[in-house]
Order: sequence, then C-alpha cells, then structure tokens
Amino acid sequence: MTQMPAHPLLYVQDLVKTFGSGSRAHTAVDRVSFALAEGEVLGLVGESGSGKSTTLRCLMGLETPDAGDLDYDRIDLRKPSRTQRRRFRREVQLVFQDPYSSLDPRMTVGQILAEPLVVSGACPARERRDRVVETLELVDLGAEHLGRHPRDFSGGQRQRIAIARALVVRPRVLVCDEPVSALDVSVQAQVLNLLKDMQSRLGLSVLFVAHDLAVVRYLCDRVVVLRDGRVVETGTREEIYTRPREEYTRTLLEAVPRLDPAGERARRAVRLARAASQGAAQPVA
Amino acid sequence: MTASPPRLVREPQAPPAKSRPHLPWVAPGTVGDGIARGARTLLGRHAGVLDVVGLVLVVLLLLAAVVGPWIAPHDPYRADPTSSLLPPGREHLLGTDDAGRDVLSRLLVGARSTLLAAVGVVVASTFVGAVVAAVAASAPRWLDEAIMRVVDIFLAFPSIVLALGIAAALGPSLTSVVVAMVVAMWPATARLVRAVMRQTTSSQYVEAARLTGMSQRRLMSRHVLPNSFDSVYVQLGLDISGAIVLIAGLAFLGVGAAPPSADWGSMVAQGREYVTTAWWVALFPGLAITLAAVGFALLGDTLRVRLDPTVVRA
Repeated sequence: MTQMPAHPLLYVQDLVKTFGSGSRAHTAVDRVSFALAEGEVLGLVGESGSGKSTTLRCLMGLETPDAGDLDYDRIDLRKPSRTQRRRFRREVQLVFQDPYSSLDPRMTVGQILAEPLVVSGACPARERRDRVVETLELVDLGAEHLGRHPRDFSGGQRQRIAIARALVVRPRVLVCDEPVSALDVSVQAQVLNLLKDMQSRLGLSVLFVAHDLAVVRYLCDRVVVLRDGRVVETGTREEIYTRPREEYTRTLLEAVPRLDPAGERARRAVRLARAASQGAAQPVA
Repeated sequence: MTASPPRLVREPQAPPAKSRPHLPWVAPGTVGDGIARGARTLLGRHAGVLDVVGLVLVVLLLLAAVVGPWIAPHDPYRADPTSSLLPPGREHLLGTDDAGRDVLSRLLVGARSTLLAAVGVVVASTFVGAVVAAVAASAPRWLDEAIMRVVDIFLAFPSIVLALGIAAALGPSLTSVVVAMVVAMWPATARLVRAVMRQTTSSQYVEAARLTGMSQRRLMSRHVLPNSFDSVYVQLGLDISGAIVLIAGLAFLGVGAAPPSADWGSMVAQGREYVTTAWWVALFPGLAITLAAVGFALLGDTLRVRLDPTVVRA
C-alpha cells in the first residue's frame, strides 16, 4: 500500500463488513486499510454507498466487523479490556452528521455537555461546570446558553454544541461523520473553520468522513478514496487533487462543481472527446 | 428549526384577552369564570376551549369520585316503592329509578368505582404492556418476534369480546371485569411502546450517549425511557376514556358489578326497560359515561400538545 505514517495512532487493516447472507449478502466494506497519525487530518472520501459510514461505525464499535484489525494506540479494538475500552471511549470522540437528531431533545445544553464528563469521570464534579462553560466558549457559545434546549438553536449552533460535547472530555482523536452535509452552505464554512481551528489549537487528530471533495480539500492533510467498499487511492492532499493516479478519483474531482465556466467548458470538451473515443472503441472490443 | 408551527403560537398581542373569560358564554365574575381561569392557569396561555372543557370534565369527575357519597342528596341504595320512577324534579333532580332510588345520588356514588376501575385497568395494562415491550425491545430478534406475534394474536380479538369472555368465566364482579380488561388492553400498549422504544433506541442521540460508554441502565433511564413515554402519557388519557366505555359496556351486558351496586353501566341496563316511559333512568347514566369518556380523551389530547419537546412554545 501507499506510505503509512511511522507511528499511527489509529490503524485499520483489511477491515471487512458484510450485511445479509446468501445471495442477498452485500459486502459494504471490503478489506479497507488506512492509518491516522498523531496530529493528522485524514479524509475518508467516497460517494454514498462507498462504505465510509460503515467503516466509521465499525471503528466506533457501533457495528461488529467480520474481519480485519482495528487498533488505537496499542489497544486492540476488537477485544479491548474494560479499562482500554474506557480510555478509547474518552480519547476518541464522534461528531455525527445530523445535529438535529444527535442531541437529546429533553436535555439542556448544560446537561448534554456535562454527561460525557459524568460518565467518563474525566473531571471532578466541582470543576465540571467550569469545564462545560470553557468548552462552550471554545465553540463560540456562551454560558447563557446552558439552560436552553436543542430546539432553541439553529443547525449551525447545534452542530457547534455537538462538537463541544465531543471536545468536553479533551479527546485526542475527533471522528467526524459528514459534519457539515446536513447544514446550509452558508453555515458550513463556519463549522469547518471551527473544526480547523480546534484541530490546530488542541492538537487533535481528525478522521474526517465526507462525500464533498471541496470540504475535504480544505481540511485534510491526507485523503483515502473509497469506492464500493474498497480503497481506490490513498495520498496526500496535493497528490490526490493535483495528480490523481486512479481514473475514479479523477471522475470524482471532475464532478465537483466549479465557478469557472471557461475551464468547465474545456473540461467538458475533453470528457466528450474521451467518451466518443471509448464509444468508437466499444464495437471492436 | 426556529420556525414555529403557527397553530401553537399566537400573536404577541394576547394580554388584552387576559381579563376576558375563557369560555365566551361564561360571564365574568361567576363561578364558571373562576373555574375557566383556574384551568387556564393550569394549562398555560395557549389552552383552547377544548383543553378547558376536557380539564373541567375530568376535575368534576374526580370531585364526584372523592366527595360523591357525602354530597349525594339521598341514600343511593334505599329502595322506596312509593317514589318509583319519579321524573326529574325539585326533590329528585335527575328523577328516580324503578326501585325508587335517586338517580343523581347513584351517579355520584358510582363515579368512584367507575373511575377507580378505569384508572386501575389502564395503569395495570400500561405497566404490563410497557414491561413486555421493554423486554421485547431489548431481547434477541427471535424472542422479540415471538412476543410481538403473541401480542398480535391478542389484538386480533375485539377487546370487548375478549373481556366479555374472561369476565364471564371469572364470574360477575368488578374485580373480574378489571382483570379481564387488563388482559384485553395490554397488547395495544405493548405494541405502542415497543414501536416507540425501537425508534428511540436507534436515534442518533441515544447512539451518541452509548458512545460515551455509559451503562445500559443509565442509557435507558436518562435517554430511552424519557423520550419514549410521551406517547404513553397521551395514550393514558385516551385509554382511560376507552376503559370507562368498556367497563360500562360490560356492566350493561351483565358481567360487571353485581346488580344493587351503583354502577353507571348497569344503571343504563336497568333503565333500558323504561326508555319509553321514564327516559331519565337510562339517559343520565349514559350521559355521565359519555362526558367522562370525552373529558379524558380531550385531556389526553391536551397532554399530547404540551408534552412534545420538539414543539416550540412561545
């Protein structure tokens, strides 16, 4: 495979997950491997159905993989001990795609942020409130929001609350499952900037799952391209975006809409020419 | 999601309405007005006429159940052949039945047993249904399927037929009616709670909570159950309403409380023979059953609107 970081923090090797059985079996994830280094932002890209969400769910322990290795900082995630599982649960946090459904509608913001602290015991009860307020301020919300419910907030604000919930236990790794795809385009940039800012300020490692290549380009150091449950290509951002080696990656990049009509016309001409030549080649083959 | 459903949010110029009575036909300063104001305080600013009507009916029923025996103008059990089948008048506000017993007194005394039986049935059947649902929802798939198919079998029988059969087998008494109705009513609750819990358990906020590594018990008590029980509370009101009708129906068919006792359903049954000559004997118990059922149904609806946490209230 391509270059693996020297000391990966998170490490996935030949992960396989099949749903259903017999003739209806569908292999959602087929021998996927990648590694996340400390302090790195890794993008996991693919169309819907490419297996990126299933990979993530296996990693977080929400699905049981059929085969393969999952490692986090020398913890074997397929059979961790109690204390290891606790450490993993605390140090690796997930931000969900849809902030409208990932926050308990009955809880106040204060309760939502305090709960991970209570459960993990990450900070003593006396300091809990300070930690919650501090984290809330980190995501540009103030202590005055503590007593409000999720329904009182906009989508972008909710996603910031969700990010705060993930950050409140001071994790080492942030796993983001399409964190902006459910948001309006106008607030996407806001949330992405926040994530980028958090990453550099807190020295987080980030695994970022998305189908939007523009978003990934903005955030990620390295990119893994998935298709039909397999890794198509792995490379640094420059490699993937300037000289992709695989045809599929190129197709994906071409599908990104651009505000460049002249360039788009040129690319379209090339595409048409290529299609025409393939069409001509078909009968012969 | 700051946009609010227009139905629930009134314009901010509500204050002048504050001094106006809630029910347009109730004059200010009267007892009716006082009750309407009290109800409004209890229900919040956005209560509609139906919310108030429901609450008032239920409160009146509760009042009758608690103090009925003391405020009853006559002894509900004393038969007096000389005053048999008297029409509603000064002495007997709602008339007397064939044995000369005061209908109003019997209604007031009967309120307690009707309400206790209905509430008892609903609480017991909801409890049984919720427990079965919780077991099914957290059981392996095959067991879940098995439990729910049994529930389906129960649901396939009309509840009145099922209750009638069981009550008849147990002998005519209020206890056997209650037992029979719990057996007849739990499957509906089980089905409801199971469906809601499935939905709640697979929601992202429960998944998020699970990812913090919290215990199954905390997950259930802090996230799954509180978010699953709204529909149960709402159902409680409707269930009590249905139970009142069903209890009366069973009594009417003769499997309820034994004859001399003041039971609304059996009062209708007794009055049936005199419908053409003494309409009041059957009409007033029937009216009591209807109003009680309507009251609880409306209250259930009020709760539904007030308990939904996703509804933005101004």
